[in-house]
Amino acid sequence: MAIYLDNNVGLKIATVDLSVYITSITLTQTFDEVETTSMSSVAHQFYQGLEASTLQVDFLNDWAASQVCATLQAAYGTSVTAVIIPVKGVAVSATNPLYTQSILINNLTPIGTGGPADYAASSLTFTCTSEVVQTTSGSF
Amino acid sequence: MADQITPADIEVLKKLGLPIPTTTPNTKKDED
Repeated sequence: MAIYLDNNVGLKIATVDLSVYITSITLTQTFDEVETTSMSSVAHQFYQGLEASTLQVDFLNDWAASQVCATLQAAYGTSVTAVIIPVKGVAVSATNPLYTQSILINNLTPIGTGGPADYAASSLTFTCTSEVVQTTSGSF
Repeated sequence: MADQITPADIEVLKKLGLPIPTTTPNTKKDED
């Protein structure tokens, strides 16, 4: 088995490692379904269309130099590379693959959200502007 | 696929004042 506790996921955005600020992360691979239903079909038919994946990340806001807020603000309005690994610190392999994609930084919550009892945090969903590529070699 | 380091990534690093890697960990190219 190669199951992992979900407490050591690695994320780099534009090569900047923001892993320690993540409280939740979900990479959703999906593609458009293009309808190809035609005469004689007895059910709707679909083929694969364009990929339309998303990356959802909950960050603890950190305004320190080169950390979450500075990195995302610098990338705001551009598509940058996001690299994700299920278990950071463990070699890339078939059981610990890298996922690489471009993400459009099109939304930020620069002051974060939360109340008096909370640390400021940001829950952001980015659209992938490339396909999600899984690789089983290389390095994080 | 996305290259490991793109020009947009480099612009972010410049804004942050971080060194720009001279080599990329992943050498796969996106050129057909």
